[in-house]
Amino acid sequence: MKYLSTMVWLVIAAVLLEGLFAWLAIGEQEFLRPDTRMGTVHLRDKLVTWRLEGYSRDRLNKRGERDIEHAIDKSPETRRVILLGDSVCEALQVPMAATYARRLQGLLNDGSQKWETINLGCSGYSTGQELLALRDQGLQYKPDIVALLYSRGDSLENCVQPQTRATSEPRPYFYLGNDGSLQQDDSVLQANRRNLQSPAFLDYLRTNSHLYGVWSQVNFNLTLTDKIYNRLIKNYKQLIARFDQSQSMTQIAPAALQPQDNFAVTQKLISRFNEVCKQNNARFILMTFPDVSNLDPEFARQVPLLKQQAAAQGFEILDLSPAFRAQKHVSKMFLQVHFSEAGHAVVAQSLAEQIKKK
Amino acid sequence: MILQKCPRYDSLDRSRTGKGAPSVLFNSFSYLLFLPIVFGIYWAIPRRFRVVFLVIASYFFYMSWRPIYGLLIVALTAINFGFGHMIATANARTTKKTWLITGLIANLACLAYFKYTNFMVESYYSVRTALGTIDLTKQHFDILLPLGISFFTFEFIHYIVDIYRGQKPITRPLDFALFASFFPSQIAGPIKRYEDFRLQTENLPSYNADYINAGTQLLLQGFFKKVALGDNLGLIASHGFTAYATNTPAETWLATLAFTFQIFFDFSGYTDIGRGSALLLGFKVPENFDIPYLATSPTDFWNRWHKSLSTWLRDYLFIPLGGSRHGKATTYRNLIITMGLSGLWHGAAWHFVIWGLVHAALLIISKEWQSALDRMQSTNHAIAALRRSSAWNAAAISITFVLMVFTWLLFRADDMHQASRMCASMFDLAGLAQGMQRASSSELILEFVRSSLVFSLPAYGAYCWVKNHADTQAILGAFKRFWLANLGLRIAFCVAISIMVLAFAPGQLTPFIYFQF
Repeated sequence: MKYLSTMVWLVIAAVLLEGLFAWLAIGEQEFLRPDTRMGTVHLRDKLVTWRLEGYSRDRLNKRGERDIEHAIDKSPETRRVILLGDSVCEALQVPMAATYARRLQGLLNDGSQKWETINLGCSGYSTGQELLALRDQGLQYKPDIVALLYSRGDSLENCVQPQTRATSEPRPYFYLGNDGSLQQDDSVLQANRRNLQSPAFLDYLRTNSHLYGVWSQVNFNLTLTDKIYNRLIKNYKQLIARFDQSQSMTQIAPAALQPQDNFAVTQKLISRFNEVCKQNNARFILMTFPDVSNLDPEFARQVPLLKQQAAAQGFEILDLSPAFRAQKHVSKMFLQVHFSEAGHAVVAQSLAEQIKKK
Repeated sequence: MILQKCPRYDSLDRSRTGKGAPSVLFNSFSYLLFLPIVFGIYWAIPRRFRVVFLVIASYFFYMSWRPIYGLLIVALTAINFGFGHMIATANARTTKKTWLITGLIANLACLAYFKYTNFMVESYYSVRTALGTIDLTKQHFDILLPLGISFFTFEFIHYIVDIYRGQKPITRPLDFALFASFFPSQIAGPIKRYEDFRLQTENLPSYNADYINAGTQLLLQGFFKKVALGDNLGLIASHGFTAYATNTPAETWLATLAFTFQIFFDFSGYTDIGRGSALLLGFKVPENFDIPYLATSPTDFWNRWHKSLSTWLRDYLFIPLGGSRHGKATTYRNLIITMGLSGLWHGAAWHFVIWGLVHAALLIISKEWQSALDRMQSTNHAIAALRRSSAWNAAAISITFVLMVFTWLLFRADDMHQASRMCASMFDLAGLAQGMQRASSSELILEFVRSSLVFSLPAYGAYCWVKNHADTQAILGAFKRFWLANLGLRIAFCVAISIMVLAFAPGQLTPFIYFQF
């Protein structure tokens, strides 16, 4: 009887909390779900209230894009721009209307042509995942222009090194084969296949439950900030893996497991981007994240190399650093690491000018 | 899942947490593991092992931060136990006094070395540089301030002074070791009195379910204050104080008010967690706060704010200096010294000293004002009636609160330049009116409106009102009977409050403000 009473009170508490959190828009930061092909993808038709950095409260569209709804069919007079990138392009830190994707559409629609911009940015995506997103999602929109935002640290996510393979995030990785060709490595995805097959009820909770959202948020914060929690989770996963032989990485990993040059793989991915765009009659514009403080020497090394690559392979490159450095209050262009609304405005303006050049 | 992978957040995290061993701080996940384990073992083992177990647990708690500083606590505990013994057993008054002075010097030297070396060196070079007699860049020593040193040093001083004054010393070394290291009050007080603590260690209580009820209530209350209120207010204060040069007057007011409440919720939340943790182990540590922002004068404020420090300063500094026994001038001199040193105790920087001196000035003005009113009241009964009215009380509370807001501005500002700029901004009434009109476009005001504070602050206010309002006691009494009879309700309530604390927590773990002291 005592247990039953406790259960009843717990259910009542859960219902009351669910109502309170819905009213206060708390626990609505959940926006990704596991995916066996991409590692993670956006939830569809999900209201997201973002408070981790900046603030926004918008709904992901029915295709799981951080954008307004778009029809697949394209009218003859419409020109489309597909925007790809990671969390910087996705821009949960600012309201949807303030993202460079939405602003760009306004800037391009000056009357002579009808422009439509489509934001396919997704948090944590590598250049390789962005390439897959273009193929799977982007090309069906028949884009005229594809604009990829390349950020600091992106190249580190494109390939997995042998020594970190066991602890790497599940996602498609890429490597250069012995003949220098670009190869996709899904071994980490396969090793985590069981975790990535999200049951329907979990997806329901992700989409609808504020309590689940709170738990997910706490888990995320603790993963970032608490070493003991991380250690416990790691030990728990290792324990589970010990009982689950199907997760053995070495059996699944491809033969080519030599240490990879991250940036060489990234350059190859960008070449592939360019090829895919050419095959589909789209302009390819590579934007590089504004490194206004020159804090990242590796990124500073990469940008000139990408410019050389653009010149050699005939795609456009837009270095955003000069436009940002020209602003009076550069620090106001950023929140913590992502763009503020003012920063998005600068990106939109720069990209619009680049597009109108031709 | 939220952001399964985003290296930019990872890099933020690394800068925040740094390297080294994980610390078991009150607002960490580690503490949520540590406390139940200590609680379970403590009540499970035979009573004779409990003190030694708590000493081990307390050292583990402290050394999880920097293991080497455990040696500091061991050394200070040993020498103060020795000083206490020598003072108590010495026959001659002069010998007692010699041991007392030696003990005071040892404790104060330790505090001075760790806390004030850089302050003194930098002040010295600043003066020499200003006078043009030296042309050196400022010297700085790499000294890490041990957590809680200001608190446990004051407890040691209280111990040896009280023994000198005739109190009985603690005879069992383990009891003294526990007094010195008791983890619920180790890092930021309350500053314990050893007589009370000794009675508790000598008569360890038996397990009682009331300890869990009351202790859990205090823990939840503390976590709610610290995480749901203090940390969220801290974000607003931090943003407001960082961008002070470009803030509108309304934003400056908001930032300063946010800090005023942040420091209260942060520190009283810490105290509640400490008191709740102690209560779960059957120990009582003193209360530190009594609704301080309802004080009717600066004197009343210090009777309600950080009470364990106020009474320590009264008993071991103000009264030994002569207190208020030798006329007005001496009393005020003693007040200035006491509050100036109180400011220095809070932080090794001149703006803390000025903060203390401003409080001294407020206390002196307040005393003069009260004396003047008393004199007028003796000849004018209307004034007496006015002073008893609720309007007078409300005005006194409001004026005291606004004065405290300004003193917290001094406390929080990085330097006097920032404090004076922000002060000037707060008095810019034209700008304030304009700022109110443009409130919807102010990032800082929007940040406040969008945060969970719009719910949690009124909810906490309602909780305090119900808890403290006389009219609600009858309802509370009826509810309490139902509450105590229903274990399921209590469990569900605790779970719900815990979830609310987690839900309202900002993304970043914020250390307690008073840890830096």
